[in-house]
Amino acid sequence: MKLEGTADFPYCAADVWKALHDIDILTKTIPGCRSMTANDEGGYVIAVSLGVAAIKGDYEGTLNVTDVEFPTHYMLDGSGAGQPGYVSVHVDCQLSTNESATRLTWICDAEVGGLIAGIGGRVTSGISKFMAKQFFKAFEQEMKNHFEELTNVSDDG
Amino acid sequence: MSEKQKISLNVNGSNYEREIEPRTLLSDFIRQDIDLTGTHVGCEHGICGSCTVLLDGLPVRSCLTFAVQAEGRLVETVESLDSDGELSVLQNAFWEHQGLQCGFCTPGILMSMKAFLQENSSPSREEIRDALSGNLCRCTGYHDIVDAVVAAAAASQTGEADRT
Amino acid sequence: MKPANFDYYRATSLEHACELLSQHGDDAKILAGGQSLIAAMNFRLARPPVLIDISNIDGPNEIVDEDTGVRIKATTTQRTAEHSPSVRNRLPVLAAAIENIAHFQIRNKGTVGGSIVNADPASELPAMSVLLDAELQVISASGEQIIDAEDFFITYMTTALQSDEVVASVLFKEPPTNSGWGFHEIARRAGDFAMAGSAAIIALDSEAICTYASIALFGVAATPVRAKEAEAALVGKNVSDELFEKAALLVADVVEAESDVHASEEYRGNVARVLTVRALKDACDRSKAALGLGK
Repeated sequence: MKLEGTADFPYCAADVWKALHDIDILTKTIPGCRSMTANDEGGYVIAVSLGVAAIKGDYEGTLNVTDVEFPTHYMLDGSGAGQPGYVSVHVDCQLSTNESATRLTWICDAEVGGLIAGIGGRVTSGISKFMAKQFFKAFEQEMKNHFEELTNVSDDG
Repeated sequence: MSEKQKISLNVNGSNYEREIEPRTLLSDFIRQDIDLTGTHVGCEHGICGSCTVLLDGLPVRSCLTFAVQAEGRLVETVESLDSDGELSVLQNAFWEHQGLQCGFCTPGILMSMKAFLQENSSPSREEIRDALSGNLCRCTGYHDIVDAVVAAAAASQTGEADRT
Repeated sequence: MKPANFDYYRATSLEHACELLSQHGDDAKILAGGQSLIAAMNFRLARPPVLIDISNIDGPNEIVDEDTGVRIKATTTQRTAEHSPSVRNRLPVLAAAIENIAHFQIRNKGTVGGSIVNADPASELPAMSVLLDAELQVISASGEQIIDAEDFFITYMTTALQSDEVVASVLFKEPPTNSGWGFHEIARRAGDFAMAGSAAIIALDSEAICTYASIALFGVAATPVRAKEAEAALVGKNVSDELFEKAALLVADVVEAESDVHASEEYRGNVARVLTVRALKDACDRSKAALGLGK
């Protein structure tokens, strides 16, 4: 399935980039994230618990960062598996500056397989969009908490 | 991890007491714990209807019922229909009108139709088709099933027998 | 497949169920009719470590007439609600909706509360709860609160209910006097989940001016939705087929359908519009009949 969207942040691209690659912030903001650690290839090993209502599952996987062009572009290649199924994602992330704000434009190609896809097919796309919304909401809040000072600096700079 | 539960229930007029895992489905309890294999298991998610039994007189999916939920209740399966080997009016109508071929869906259909005819004793063919929509049959094409139910309803009306 | 193991508790009352919920929190799921939960457990899509069975709690008065509407105990079976004189007389759209739920074998065990809390956006009962401005009586070990149906549904299968809360009853508000109702859904086979559905309540005055409109859609978004723009386009206007067609175009505002193996986004959007027109016409005809107005 294809998901895409944009998110606007009142910070400069470099700060948004740093936050998007900050393990602490990501662990707090990725829905259901139980743990996230850096691996040797510049990516992450990630464990999440996801689900709706009674249909919950634990997934483990890796997220690799590729095609890096600081601070405007990177791609995420991720795959994870758990008891209810497996998922692989390919996300293209573009950061563009508009005055003092940065826009993140993301395009995600996701493949869902296994039990959840077969039986939960009706809802996987909608739930994924919902989780993406949740992520950005939490991410925005985390950025506000951690980068208040930096905002003042970039306003002056 | 899960403690076994003691249950006691009445199936087809006989009382049973068993100790079972709570995750035991009523369909499996009926077939495996008390050896009544007339009830069939098809899809195990409530759609095909082959597992339909009567619970306190109402047709339900035994695959969507935990046996522990039948505690203290009355369960009727297809084995309850005949009298000492003599087919009930409903069963006889299915026999005469070829309302079954492989017979896999038949117990579920019989239990659903038994309850249906108790509520609607002279249904139209349309009403019967509507009532059958919760039971899937891969063999007959349903037409002969409808014929059988029409015949059973008519036979009961004329009071041919007092067992349905 | 067979369900995974779980610890089983039979609640002797809703208060007992709440105690158990507060003990087990996220590990526990409430078992009422089980027609959705047990299916998910048979697939092992759901593997709750703890099940709290509320299906055998005795109690009087499953369905109670109140001034503003009909209160239905959450554990009331869909069948009981379907055949209840209070429901059939005061909430005929609810009776019509329940008749469309799956098959009678499912309705003999599935519950009104269970279907609403399951919050499948293609289901009839969640849609009826928003159509009829229902109030959900929600209880927990720490107290009780009322949640309006319009605030209850968050997204697919997700509601505002916390893990220590259970719905005790649902109050469906009676539509205005002499109002009429319409209910339409489309599914591939009788009893399948709706690809799209629309229900409407219309109240007219003696000059066939619309004084009240409620339109709820299901199967076309992540939750059941009220088409408030379409409703606003009707109130205060003289009803006509043209008005209904115009109003139905506005339901596109609340349709956020997904394409899947059952139906495409475009199909759902179009069918939502068509079914809304039909539901509005039926509601209008019924209201006119109630008022003694000619067609």
